[in-house]
Amino acid sequence: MNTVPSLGARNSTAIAFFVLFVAVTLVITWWAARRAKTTEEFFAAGRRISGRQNGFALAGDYMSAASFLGATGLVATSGFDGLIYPVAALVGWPLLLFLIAEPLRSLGRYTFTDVVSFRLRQTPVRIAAALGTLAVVALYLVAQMVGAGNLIKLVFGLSYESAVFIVGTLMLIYVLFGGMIATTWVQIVKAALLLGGAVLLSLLVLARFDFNPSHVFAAAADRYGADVLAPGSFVNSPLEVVSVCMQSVLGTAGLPHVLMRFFTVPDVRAARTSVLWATGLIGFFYLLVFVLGFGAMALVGREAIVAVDKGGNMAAPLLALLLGGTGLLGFIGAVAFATILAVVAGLTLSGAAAVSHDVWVNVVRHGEASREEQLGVARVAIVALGILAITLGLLFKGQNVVFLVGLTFAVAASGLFPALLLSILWRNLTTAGAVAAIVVGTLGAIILIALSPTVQIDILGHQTAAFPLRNPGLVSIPLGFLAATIVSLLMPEPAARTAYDSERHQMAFGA
Amino acid sequence: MSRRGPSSRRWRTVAALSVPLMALYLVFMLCIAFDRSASRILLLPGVTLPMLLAALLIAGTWLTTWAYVRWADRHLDQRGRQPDRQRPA
Repeated sequence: MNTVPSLGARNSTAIAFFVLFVAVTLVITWWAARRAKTTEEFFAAGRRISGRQNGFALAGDYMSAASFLGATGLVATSGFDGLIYPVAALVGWPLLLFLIAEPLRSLGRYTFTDVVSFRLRQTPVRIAAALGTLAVVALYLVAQMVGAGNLIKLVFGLSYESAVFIVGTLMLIYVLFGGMIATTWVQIVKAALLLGGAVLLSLLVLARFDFNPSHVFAAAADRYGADVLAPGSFVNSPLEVVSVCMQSVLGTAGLPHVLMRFFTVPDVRAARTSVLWATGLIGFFYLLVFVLGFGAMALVGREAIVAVDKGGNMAAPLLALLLGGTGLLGFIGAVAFATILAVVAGLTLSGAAAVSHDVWVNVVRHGEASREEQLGVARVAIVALGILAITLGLLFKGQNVVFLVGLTFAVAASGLFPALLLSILWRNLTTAGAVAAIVVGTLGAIILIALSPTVQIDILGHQTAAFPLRNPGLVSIPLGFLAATIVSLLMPEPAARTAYDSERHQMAFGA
Repeated sequence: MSRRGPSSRRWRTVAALSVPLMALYLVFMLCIAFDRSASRILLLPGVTLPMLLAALLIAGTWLTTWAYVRWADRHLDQRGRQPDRQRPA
């Protein structure tokens, strides 16, 4: 198939669409910058984002380039297995709604740490939670930056380094000047573009198959055998499946940049509405991924996809090129670029909130810091995170970083989720217990990944790995809960229990 | 309104809504983890049992969320539109 030469060449349509997106988002940032003068505006968009808008933004945070390009590519190259991860993760959303969203909105101010620490001793909990947040943010930033560099090199024909610089710089402008208002609206615009692009591409695929999705799947099965429609290599380890499912479901409820969005809506009711919209949009998007993935498999072919990128990440762009020429390729490429940019902005803002609000204001200043000081510290943190993201992006050039996305979810699920959930549900949780959960869960996930076949065999080239699973969640999540339980029971904290009982009514159903 | 009322009603609703979804999730997970032969049978041309389960799970997730939000908006937070209670920084 003669599609390969068009990739990696400079694509002027892609650049034109991307420049248009940048122009629109810069206007949004300029508008947002005039409002983002208070901490409430800067970190929580003045709590004026509606439920539906927040639903789009949440969905946008969740539908990263990894899920658009990665999931489509995984389905296109390995069939049904590629669907397991996204579908399993979706179930995390009702869980997030039932357990976390309402108490989070009613108890917290800017970060989920507000909720974890509200009845515990502030200093240790906030420091541990901020470090956990920064670990998740840094890991996810590296994965996104490296992904951005590779994608932009292929679709736009720009060098890896300039792509990393462009993403880093634009992100800095959005977050630094526009705060949460700009970050939210960039995310909303991107989510609409991403869904629009996926719908358009799906319709073009379906048009070739009498608008019947099952014909698309059947065509893929005709070309590569019926096994592509059933679980394949994944099945070799049932424990791996359970582990992936656990960490993607619980990790969703522990991602700091996703949790932070619940503070941008006016009330608990809007928080609920936003989860409903997010679940609907993400679910719909994954249904499109069924069509896009198997469509790419049937029309483009596995060989052509793998020839361009071993990970299969170019399946969606190649499908666009085949069905709509370089124009559509340009549009899809620009959408993918915008996607990375918006997610990176959200991550950076949540990292800056952890540094400014959690550590600086509440630990260093004991809650007494002027507005200028809070925003100043946040901006310094944003610049530092931006520089860190660019540096790590350049440092990890050419590295296999796919495992970092899994690690991000594993750390969020094992380090942050247990502390957050127990602080909401368990009256006996203590300061030491919460800190233990964060430390043990985070380190546990990182150490187990380091010992896993992904790092030991695939990256370091060793023969065996000390830990058999590629996804540590099955072990590291219970470790986090266990650490919290044991430490809390060994070192009771009556004051924390009393404070829990007095807040219980408000926590239970939000008000 | 009793102090525990809304809370226990909320947990009952959450439990009632979670059980069917979690059951479906368990079937999906066990089907892909253990059942190799049954998962290859074509229900329709191009559609296998795991694919159908995946689509049902997406639909079920949304329905569960919708049912909860509808219930909660009617039965919880009569004070829901109240502005923010200021929390200590």
